[in-house]
Amino acid sequence: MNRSEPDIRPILAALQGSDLECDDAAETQVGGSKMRERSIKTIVRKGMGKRPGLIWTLVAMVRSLGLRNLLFGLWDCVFIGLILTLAVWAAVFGSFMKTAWPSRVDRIFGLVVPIFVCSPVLFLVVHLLVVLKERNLNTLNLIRTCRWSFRQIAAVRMLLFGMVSMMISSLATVLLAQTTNPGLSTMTLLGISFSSLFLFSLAQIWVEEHVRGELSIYLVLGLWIVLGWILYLTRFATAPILFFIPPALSLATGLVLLLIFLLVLHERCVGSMLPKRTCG
Amino acid sequence: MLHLYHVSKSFRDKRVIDDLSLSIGTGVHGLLAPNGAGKTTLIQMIATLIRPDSGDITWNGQDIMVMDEDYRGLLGYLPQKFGYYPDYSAEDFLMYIAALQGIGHKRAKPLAKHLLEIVGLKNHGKQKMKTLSGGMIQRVGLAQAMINDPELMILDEPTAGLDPRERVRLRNLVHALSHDRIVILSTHIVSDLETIADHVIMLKDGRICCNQSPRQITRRLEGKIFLVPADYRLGEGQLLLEEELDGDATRLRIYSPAPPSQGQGVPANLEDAFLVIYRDGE
Repeated sequence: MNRSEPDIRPILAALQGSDLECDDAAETQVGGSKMRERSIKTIVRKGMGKRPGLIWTLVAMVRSLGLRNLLFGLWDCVFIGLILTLAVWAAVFGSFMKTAWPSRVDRIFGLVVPIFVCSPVLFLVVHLLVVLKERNLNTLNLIRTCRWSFRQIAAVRMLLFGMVSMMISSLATVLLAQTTNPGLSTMTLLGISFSSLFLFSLAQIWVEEHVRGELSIYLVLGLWIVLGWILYLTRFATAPILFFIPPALSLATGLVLLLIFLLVLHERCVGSMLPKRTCG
Repeated sequence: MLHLYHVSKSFRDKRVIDDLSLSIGTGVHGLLAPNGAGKTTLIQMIATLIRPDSGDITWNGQDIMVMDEDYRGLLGYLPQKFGYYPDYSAEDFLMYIAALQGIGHKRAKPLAKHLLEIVGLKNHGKQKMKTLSGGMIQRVGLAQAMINDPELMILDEPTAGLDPRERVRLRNLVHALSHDRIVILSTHIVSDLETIADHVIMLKDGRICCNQSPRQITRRLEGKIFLVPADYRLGEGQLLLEEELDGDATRLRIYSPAPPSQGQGVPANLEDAFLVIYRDGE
């Protein structure tokens, strides 16, 4: 059989219907100039609507969606996160009590390093599980086309995880400080705990907005383990600094980082309505 | 009315959508192209999931990105890979989407029940979604896309992976739900559009190569489709479309600009047009 390449140009030309040509013609008159100018004028006249901030979004979202829908399909992640967090803090407490610390500095850093590494654990576990679950279930694209902005939902979820993490790490830190008498004030340890939690959260937000790739969500986790390790290795050099920092200053640093965290979430709610262009 | 003005989109160095302009009014608009032709990219731009590199998309004269939640509030979307929560019931899932669309609980509950009834899942509303068949899950997907009574409904490959019975059922549902709204139905299955699409938009090399009703498209091929014997040698300009079984004999369905020396003319269908247009993509 002769299967030579047929000349389909005539039929293609016929099928390239007049509709498209009509659109192009109309567009030159309407879309190309007048409509575009009218749209620009309307936007300039009305201005860009200001979006509500974090607090309003939190209140409106909890009212409209309810807590159940805010974490719809994700309660298992929250449950696993809570169990894992309790287990981690119990392990920290147990190992600290069992270990015979060779020096005062070793004893202090035997508590400071776990507090630094473990304070963001609830935020980390719940946030990672939620992201991975929504990725695996392919629900993100659907949620992104709904009326509630996904950025707002993500910001409110982060606020929720951050606050619960803060409560749990505060409880754990106070309990550890009171029962073990490590040689550092509770305020200093709380400052370390809050600083670690909110620095971690800020780093996680930055990485998610700026770093691409499947494995990017694990980047901050890896960084935190390395930082904890470095903190332990440099304990003798770092110890004098820790002793001389006033406890109130340590706690204030943690609270300032909390404030920055809230401002970043607020910015995510209020922020640009337009997704970034990839190019062009 | 949805307008796309000179919209382009590239991924890495590949231009997937190339200076595409289009106006879409009420009715079912079938987006037909082979896999990888840019259908999903175009759909995702209209659904605000990705932004064009250049060009504008407007809804009644307003940029859809500037309209933001106002635009998303009038949009119903069924993605190609419809994600759901397997351990929750269809009714719970619809209630969740209703909440995300800003519909209050009191209004959402009867609405969810009503939509489940429309898509034939009245008795399965309380069942966990993981126990539903693929066709049932797609129908839940269609119901969630309808929950806000959208003015613009986008369905990305809704019949992919369904058996013929479910495909016909879903197609009929789309047709029934398409009144007074714009429905954009993306597919590579020609039969999905033949009966329900008011317009068929075909994409080729990131551009629109055809935007007409199925009837107008097939009319262009009238007198050019023939059944010829199996040993027929194709001539210049002719194109083999399909081998058909006619009793015990095999016959060839061909496109020929002029009547062949032997053979019988047959009515053209949308699949013929699809094969003719995308012949060089093999």
